Amino acid sequence: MTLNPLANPKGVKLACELCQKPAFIQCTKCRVTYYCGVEHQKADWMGIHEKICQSLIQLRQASPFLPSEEERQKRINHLNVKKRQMIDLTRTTGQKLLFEGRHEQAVPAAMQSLRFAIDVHGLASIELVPSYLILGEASIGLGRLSQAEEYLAQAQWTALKTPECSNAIKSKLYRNLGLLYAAKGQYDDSLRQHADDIYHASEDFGTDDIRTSGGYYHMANVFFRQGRMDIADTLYRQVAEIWYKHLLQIVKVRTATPDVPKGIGPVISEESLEEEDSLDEAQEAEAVQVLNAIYDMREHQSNRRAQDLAKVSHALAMLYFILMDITKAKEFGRKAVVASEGDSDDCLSRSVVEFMKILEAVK
Amino acid sequence: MATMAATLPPINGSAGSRKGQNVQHFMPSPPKGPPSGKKLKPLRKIPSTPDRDPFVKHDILRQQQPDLSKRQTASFRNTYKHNLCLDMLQEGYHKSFSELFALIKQQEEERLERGPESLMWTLIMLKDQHAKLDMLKVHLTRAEEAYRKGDFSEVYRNRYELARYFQSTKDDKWLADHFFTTCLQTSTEVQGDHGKMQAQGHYNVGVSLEENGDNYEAVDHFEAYYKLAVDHKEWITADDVTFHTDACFNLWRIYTAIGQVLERQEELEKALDFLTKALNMAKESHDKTLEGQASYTLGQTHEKCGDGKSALVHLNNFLDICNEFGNSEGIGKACDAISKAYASQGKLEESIEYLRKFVEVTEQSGEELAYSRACHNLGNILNSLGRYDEATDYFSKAYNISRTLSDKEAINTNRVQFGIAMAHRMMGGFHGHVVLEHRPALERMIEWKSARTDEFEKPFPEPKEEEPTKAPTPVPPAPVEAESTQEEAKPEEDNAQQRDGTMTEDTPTETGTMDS
Repeated sequence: MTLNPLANPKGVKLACELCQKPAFIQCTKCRVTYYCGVEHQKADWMGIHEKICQSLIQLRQASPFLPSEEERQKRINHLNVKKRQMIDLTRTTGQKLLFEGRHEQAVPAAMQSLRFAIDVHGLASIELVPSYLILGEASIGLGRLSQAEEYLAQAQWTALKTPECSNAIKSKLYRNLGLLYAAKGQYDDSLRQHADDIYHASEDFGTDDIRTSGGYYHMANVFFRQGRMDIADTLYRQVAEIWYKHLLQIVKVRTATPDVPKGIGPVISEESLEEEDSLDEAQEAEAVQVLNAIYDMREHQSNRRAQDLAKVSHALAMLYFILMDITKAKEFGRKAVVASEGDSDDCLSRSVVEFMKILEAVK
Repeated sequence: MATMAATLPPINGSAGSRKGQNVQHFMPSPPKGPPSGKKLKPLRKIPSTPDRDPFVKHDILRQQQPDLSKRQTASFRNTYKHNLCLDMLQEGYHKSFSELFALIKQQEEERLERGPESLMWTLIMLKDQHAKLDMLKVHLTRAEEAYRKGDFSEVYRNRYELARYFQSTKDDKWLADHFFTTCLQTSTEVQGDHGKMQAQGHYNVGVSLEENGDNYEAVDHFEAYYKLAVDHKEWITADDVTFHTDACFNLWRIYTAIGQVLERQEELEKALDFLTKALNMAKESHDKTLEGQASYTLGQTHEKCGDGKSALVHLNNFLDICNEFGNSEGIGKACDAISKAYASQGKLEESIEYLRKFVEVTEQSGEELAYSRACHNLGNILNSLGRYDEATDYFSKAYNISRTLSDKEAINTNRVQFGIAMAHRMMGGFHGHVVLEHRPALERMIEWKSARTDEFEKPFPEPKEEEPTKAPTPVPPAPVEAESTQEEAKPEEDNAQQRDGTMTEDTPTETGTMDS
């Protein structure tokens, strides 16, 4: 639906959602979002708007006339809750897009989350940092390093000024700074930042948590690029190990409910959706990305240990099983079986075989 | 798409309506005040330092300080532990990091669990002990470096080093234990030395477990150590002992310890089991002294079980070994134990024989305590056999020795025993006098009553009287006489004291019969 800026009511300037230039078109679904052109509308739609279109109506509508203070307060509270939900939603979406490598599309989501965060928490709040971080990471991914640095500097300053800043946020901040330095080619600084990332993550989650493993993974990448393969190797192994254990745990929880007389099957899978010990979208995306990367690396490595490859394959198979992608799970399961055949580690090959049996049963 | 990204909105004020808030700055503002250029400084103020503009002072101070890099400021801001971890991680030593982190966490959790009342609460935490952290870092990273290269013996050495270090420091037993355990784990990976390191690892873990009091777990490790060592007699420890002997020695020690604990808990069957194992180990170590000791302990336990025969076999073995080495103390102990074993079997003659040997040996070796005990025991047994003359002799010896040792308890018991023996000896004469029923005898008894001198043995002056039974047939202390002997004991004892002339304490009323 096209608009003409000259036809706007007096004093009202409708700006593009993405670039803040005068808007010429309007989203026909929600009618509260404006764009300078079809290109931006499309980008926003792909990035985040599709998910939040309907929610925006409520948030952006002019407030109706409410006669009593009580009702006004109620509406404000209601909107606040809504906005907080939006922050979470937009952030997770952004993070997921980042892990999938779609940096362009992550930008609108991150911008949206930043907007809501500013709205709710104010400008100097620590709550803004995650949004800055997503923006920073997206910028790094797009190769715009100075812009990324700007975002990250902003985030770092906020974190520094907030003594009670949580370790989780700090860890993410340092991870992004590490990525930034790595992209700039300053590997030593990058390692330092990643070290900080791992340290803070460990403080909160322990050294063997999947949330810590990201730091190890990025660190391994830096060492890899530096050509220090032996160190990178142990780090990749550590990451694979952490994911392997975590996934194994989830699979165990999911498959160990034979109370239902129908046995292992779709019933279990449905139940497992309610399991708490599961992966959120961003974590799923991270797992897919990280494990595939490690798998590729191992496959092309000439002097690899068979056990490593088997472990990564098995982890991937479990991951796809959890994501309900049975064909891929089987494919990787078979690879794991092949890789673990020539190995002496009985425990691993046995668990692979057991897992394959479960897969057969699922079909 | 590309054009969209090129025109990313500014960080702040993405929404037009909030432009008013954009004025907020996050960068630190430059110091206010006049710039520090020389021209602007008022000249007259330069000489008087206190009057100087605070900003100038600040500037000077700033110039004296070196410019800090980001890393330096960060290291200033962070804790020591944080920096240490960062240094390790930056070099890629993530395993060392995890281990150190886990150790620190473990200590913190334990501390919290024990609560603020515990002793642990006041101890300095590992994370605040910088020297120890440094030590950990150095060796852990070296170990990890070696691990990457697959050089497990180097890993082992470093971990061992750490364990030794924490053994030498106070309150760090748990760390030493941790590293000994990891040493053992590492040693299983070491190739090409046929398990020598593994053996050492088992030994170390065994020792640390033993120190913690987990004797049974320690046994497992020592046994593993033994198994590895038994096939490799060529391995030699730093003290020039073969591993095999060392393993035997350790097993002997731990078995004996367990056996003795069980014995105290009155689980004699199990105790015997362990002590027999200990003896076997001692035999295998070809160390005669050990074997002797093991035999002795085992013999004692058999004795306690009431199995006199087996006890005698082991005790005799001990005696032989002691004889071989001329170990007079051991011989004494052996004789003592053997005589007791015989006594409990009722073979008094053998018992006396060994006791005499005991006395002899201790007399020669000059171990007064043992000598006194030997005399006492021998006196006891002779006394019960009615050989009062000898008994008094030995008791007097025992009494004198214990007086020189000024061992109060021994003095008192020996004194009483001495008195009893004396009384027994006198009983014969006294009895004879009572039986005689003529005047001189009566007079003599009355005299004795007042003077308390033992003259019953003397012949009477009147030839008409037939001599009283000079060598009175030893009257075994019948239960009827028990009372009278005790009554008599007291005055006799006074007598003895007078003779000795030093005793001032009141006589003990209880008949302190020393336990055999």
